[in-house]
Formats: sequence, structure tokens, C-alpha cells
Amino acid sequence: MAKYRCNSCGGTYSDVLQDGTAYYHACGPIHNPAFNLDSAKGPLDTRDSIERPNKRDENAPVTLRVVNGKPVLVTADVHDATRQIETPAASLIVSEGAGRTLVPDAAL
Amino acid sequence: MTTIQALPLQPGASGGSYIPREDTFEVLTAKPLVGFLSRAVQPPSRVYLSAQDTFLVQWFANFVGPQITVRGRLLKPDGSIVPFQQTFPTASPFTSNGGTFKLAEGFLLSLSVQNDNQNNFSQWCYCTVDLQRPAQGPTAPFDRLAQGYVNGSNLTMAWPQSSLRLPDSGQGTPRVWIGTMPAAGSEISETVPTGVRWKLKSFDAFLNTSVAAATRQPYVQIRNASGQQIITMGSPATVGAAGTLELMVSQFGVNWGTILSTIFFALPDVYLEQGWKITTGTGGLQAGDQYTAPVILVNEYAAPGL
Repeated sequence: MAKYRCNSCGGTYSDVLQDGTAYYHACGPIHNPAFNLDSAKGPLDTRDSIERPNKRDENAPVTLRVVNGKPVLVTADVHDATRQIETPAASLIVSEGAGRTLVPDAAL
Repeated sequence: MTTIQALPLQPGASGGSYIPREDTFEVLTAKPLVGFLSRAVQPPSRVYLSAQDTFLVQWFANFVGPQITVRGRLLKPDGSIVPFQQTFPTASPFTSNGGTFKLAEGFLLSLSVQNDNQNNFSQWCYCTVDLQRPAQGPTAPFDRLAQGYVNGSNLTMAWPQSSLRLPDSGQGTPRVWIGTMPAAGSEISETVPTGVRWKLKSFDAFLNTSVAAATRQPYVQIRNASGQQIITMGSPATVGAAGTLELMVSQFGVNWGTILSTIFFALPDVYLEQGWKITTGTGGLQAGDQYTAPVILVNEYAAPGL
């Protein structure tokens, strides 16, 4: 079972779990340096965490469909409610980030 | 009630013979009040397929490689019954996969859907079968024939017998999710995959601390897809330098406290939608501290945007 290291966050994972189900890695959020709940100290920002820059997210885009073996992004046709518009999908995942690296077994 | 005459003496199955008793051998059915035609019979189906009608089969699975097979029988206008079979391989898990096929003109008599390539009870496949026009692409269907889980070749979905089953009906599929081991000094974060809903049952991870002197106090949070905190589960328990602390979060009802370097948090009864996150947060976390990959038990449901 192959292991990968995410080049964006440094996390290590298998993309297929022991029971054969799929695992999709997504980098976690990071601390928000602008987090501030005291207006006397500066602009308020109630988000204690923010998304990591160049985040990798292997999940499928919500609009992704595979139609007769071809991945497409599906959107509603505003001119005809009975039809949907398909455009070729450039990627099967939400964001590549900095990619991932196969981890040799000996390194685990 | 009609009594018939006794049969003549006949050889029995064991080579002997028996004599039917006239007083107990009775026909219990009455003569039918209706008759049936042998020609120009009304077909036993509400679905008549034209040459333009297309089957749209869509499925969504949490594993690589389910093979969906659709089988059925078609009554053609010339009176002949034709069996058919169509197989679709899956391209990508956690993605709506779709395929189309057409049949000849006629009455649809039966249809069944099987998943022929499943080998674990943690795996599931949710499937729908629609009729639509035109032939290609996911246009709006005008008739849904079947929808439900097709988990393994023995759990077949069939038309017209099966009822339409919603993705979140039933108990879900128990699944053990082994997440990412974060880099040293980083927190755990797991994201609910696209197209599924989780009923969170438990969360377990270890924190191994470095020799840096500090008091670490971990907690577990649930965040929505926008990153907003929904729930924080914590404990007064802490761990110092060069130590190990296990975080065990489950539906205990109350916080049990710390037992043998394990802290037990109570987990609320909550559903997690796609894109929601389960994260740790650790007061005093040091650069050399290392979390293990979390082991998360969920009941998983399909929630695809089919």
C-alpha cells in the first residue's frame, strides 16, 4: 500500500486504506496571524485559523462528474432547465498544491 | 366444493402402490370468474420505451473499482422477450459516475442492478437508474426507475420490486478512516470527502511530545466547510515534555477524565457534511511534537449531487 508525503503540509498518508476504501488527503488549516478579538488592539478578525497557502486538496470538486468514462464539470444551463453544460475537467481534484511525493517503505 | 373420482391403482414412488381415498381427495379451488386472453394481451409494465429513450445510470462509491451491471428483459412489439446486460466500470471514487445506454422499442419487463466488484463491508455504492432524452450526458431525467445502495452482488436493486431508497436511509456504513499523520509541530486535520455525510462515532490519536519544556493541552474541534468552529471538545488533562497522551473521543456521554495517559472526551451526536473538518488544537504545542495519524470511526452515507 503506497504512502505519500504531501509537499504542501508535510503530512504522510495512504490514498487507499486497509479495507480498500479510498482516502483523499486535504491539508489542514493554519493559525490565522491576524486573529484578534479586541478592537482596541487592531482590526477584528474572529477566524482563529485560515486555509494554508498552496493547499493540496485531493477531494473531488463538487461539480465533477464522470460521464461515459470522461471527467467533466457540470453546471446548469440557465437557458434550458432540462439540460446541463459539460466542460472538460482539467483535474480530478480540488487543488494540486505543491504535489506529493511517494515515500519509500524504508523511510516509514 | 367438488369431489372427483378416485384414481385407478398406480405404482408409488417407492415401487409399492397406493389407492387414493375418495372421501379426502378434494379440489379446493373454485372455478375462476374471469378469463384471460391468449392473444393481444396487455403487457405487465408501465414503461414503454421508444427508440429515443435512454437509460442513465449514475453511481457513487467510496472505493476504487466497483463494476455496475444492469440486466433486464424487454418485451418487443413482435412479442419476443429479449434479455439485455450493460456493464459500467468506475473511473473515480467519491465522484458521481454516469453512463448511458439504449434499448430497442418495447415494454420494459424487469431491471436489476448489481455491483460485481466489492470485497469489503466498509465499501458501499449508491446507484440511480433514470430514463432520459437525448442520448448523451446528464440531462434532466423524466422517470426514475430505481435508486438505492448496491453493496455487493447479493444486494441487488431491482425494478419494479425495489422502493426508491434515499442515500441517508438506514444505519449508514461503519467505516474506519485512518487519516494523515501531520508533520512534526502540526495539528491533525481531516476533511469529510465530497459527496458523503458522516455520523461521527469516535476519534483516536496519540500526541508524542518532544523534550522541549512546555505544558501541552490538546482539544478536538469540528469545523464547517468555511472553517468556522462548530464544536470544541476538551479536557483539563495536560502532558509535559517527552511524554505521550492519547486522545480518545467517543460517545461516552460525559468526559471520563484521564486514565493511564488517555484522556476521554465526550462526543456530541452530530452529522458532518462534505468539506467539514475534524481538527486538533493544542495549547503549548512545540515544533518537535508529533501527532500520530488519527483513527476515526464513522457511519458513512452517500450524499452525492447526482
